[in-house]
Amino acid sequence: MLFPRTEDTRYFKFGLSLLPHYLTEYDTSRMAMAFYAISGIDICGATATAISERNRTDWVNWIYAQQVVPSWNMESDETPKDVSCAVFGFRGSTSSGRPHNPHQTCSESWHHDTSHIAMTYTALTMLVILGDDLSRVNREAIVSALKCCQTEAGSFIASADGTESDMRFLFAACAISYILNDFRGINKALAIKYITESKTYESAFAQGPGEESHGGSTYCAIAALSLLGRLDVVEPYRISLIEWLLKRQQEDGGFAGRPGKVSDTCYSFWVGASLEILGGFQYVDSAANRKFLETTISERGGFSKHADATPDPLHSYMGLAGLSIAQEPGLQPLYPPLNITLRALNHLKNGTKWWR
Amino acid sequence: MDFETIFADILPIPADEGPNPMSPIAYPAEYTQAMDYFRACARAGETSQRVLDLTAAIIELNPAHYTVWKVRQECLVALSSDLRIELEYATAVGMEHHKNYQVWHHREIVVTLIGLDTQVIANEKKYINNQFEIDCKNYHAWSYRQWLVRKFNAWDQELDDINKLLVQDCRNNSAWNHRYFYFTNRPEGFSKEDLEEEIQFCLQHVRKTPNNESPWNYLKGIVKKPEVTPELLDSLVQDVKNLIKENEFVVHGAAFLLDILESNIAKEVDDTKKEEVSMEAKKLCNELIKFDIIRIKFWNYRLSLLK
Repeated sequence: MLFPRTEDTRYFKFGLSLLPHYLTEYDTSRMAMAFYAISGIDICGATATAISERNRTDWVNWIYAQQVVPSWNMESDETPKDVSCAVFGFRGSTSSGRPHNPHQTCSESWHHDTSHIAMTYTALTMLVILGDDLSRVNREAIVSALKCCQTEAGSFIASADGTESDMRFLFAACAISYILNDFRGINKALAIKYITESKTYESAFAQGPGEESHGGSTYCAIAALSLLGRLDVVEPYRISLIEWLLKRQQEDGGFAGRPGKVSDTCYSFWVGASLEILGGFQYVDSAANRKFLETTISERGGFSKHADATPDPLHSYMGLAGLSIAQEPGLQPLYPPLNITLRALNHLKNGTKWWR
Repeated sequence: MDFETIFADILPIPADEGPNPMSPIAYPAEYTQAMDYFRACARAGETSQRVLDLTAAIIELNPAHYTVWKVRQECLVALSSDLRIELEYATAVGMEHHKNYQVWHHREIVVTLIGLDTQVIANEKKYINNQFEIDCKNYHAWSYRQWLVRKFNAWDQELDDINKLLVQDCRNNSAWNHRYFYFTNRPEGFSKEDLEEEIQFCLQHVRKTPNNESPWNYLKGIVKKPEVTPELLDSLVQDVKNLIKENEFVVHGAAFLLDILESNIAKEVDDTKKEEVSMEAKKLCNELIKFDIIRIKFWNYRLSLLK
């Protein structure tokens, strides 16, 4: 098993061109599905070679066409009454029926035409990976959307159309703010309060206060703290947290998400990246993890959750991301708190509107 | 559903993908047609029986469309629909899609609209238990249960249900987590007597299944409670040491002891005593290095911290 594999790039490209009918339930999260493919190609170091200039331009435009924009100029005019700012950001797909317009800066609001916080995050990361300068992003609108989406408890809902609120969306809010270099949309103290209240008796993090420690929510909490510049919050129990994360590694070398569960490809990233951020990845048995991922990799491209299952976009991305965290030769290194390559991060810092 | 007749007055809105979309889905024709009408109705803000029926038709093909569920909720309110019947509908969808965020969230919305109703709450617990029969560790089901119990102060039955699940699978970490949630959030709280009983409960479990991480993590959690006296802790430490001796080695037990010894070292003022405890801790690290090979680098690190 040597990387990068042309099979993986081909698998991701195929997913970008068409997803099968049995993935219809991903209609509102196509932006995330595209992110797995684009960032996956980037980890393979194939962004310049596998994505034609035509596709790059068209896809940047398609992403911008999913931006929900205000009906007024936020920098000069007052907010009209009865407007929910929570709608601004990026849609998960074309589902609301808006005409395709990649250059729209202002448009009347449509009932139920909303952004989704995880789609705003994946849209922004893809724009960065594809080399865009973010100049068409309405930062003011997104910042006000985040303000509307933060709950009293400090976490975030995903959309003006009312969704659940948990650690996933708190992470997305932090990632969005970091990319836009603007944290005005987040009440940081409240966000940190939510994170600390979601720490469990196991010294790891749940989706919310009282809930069960989980590898995914632990990544979201740690990555959020890192992006907020507040990793000091976990200092009193950092070693217990590292111990919990390391105990997710099973006898088969893979990682599980909770005690008593079995190994799953994606936790090689969620748990691995958490450890990397905390400085604890050095204690992982990388060779054993690689051996596990050899059983979930597909000859025809991609990874699946377990051995002898069909590959899917999420696990295909997470398998590579997990290997990248382990510094697999041939794969591009990642910036764990944002889940993009260092190459992409470099473009963010040097080539985008609010960082350069 | 005959869309063309029922929605004859509506101009459907197609999705506009542009010239080169990302990750387009090969939607079934029925889905596209239903969505074309939904887009128009949603934009117009229509709440009606026909739109309610339309949401059901779409949910059949895509139960994850959060906007569709939102419009459904708006219709239910506008039509003053029977929300208890709606819960039956949500159950039908939920039993097909156990880990769908939107279905669980919809339940929360509907139950909130109904308000306090002991029959509804009892039915919800039954539904959750039915879900546990399919997957006793379903994260959504557990989160929903915690929400329900907290919102309506419905603490009865919790410990019984937890115990039933632990009898079925003593490694069900979700049930252990809920046990901790129960004792630390119920109105009467966690008394010293409760703590003593819980410690014994954990010891019973680790004697039977020493490599079961869940009761060890639970123990780690409860010994941090202020009601745990030094005597209680010392007695527990002795029990754990005995357990380790009786088995070849118990990794989680040793790690548990290591934590306690480390905090004792930090608190110890007498240098001789400090050295004694430190020697004991180092011995534990060396055994962990020997027995928990996959984490050898970590236990070496812990050893280095003692030097």
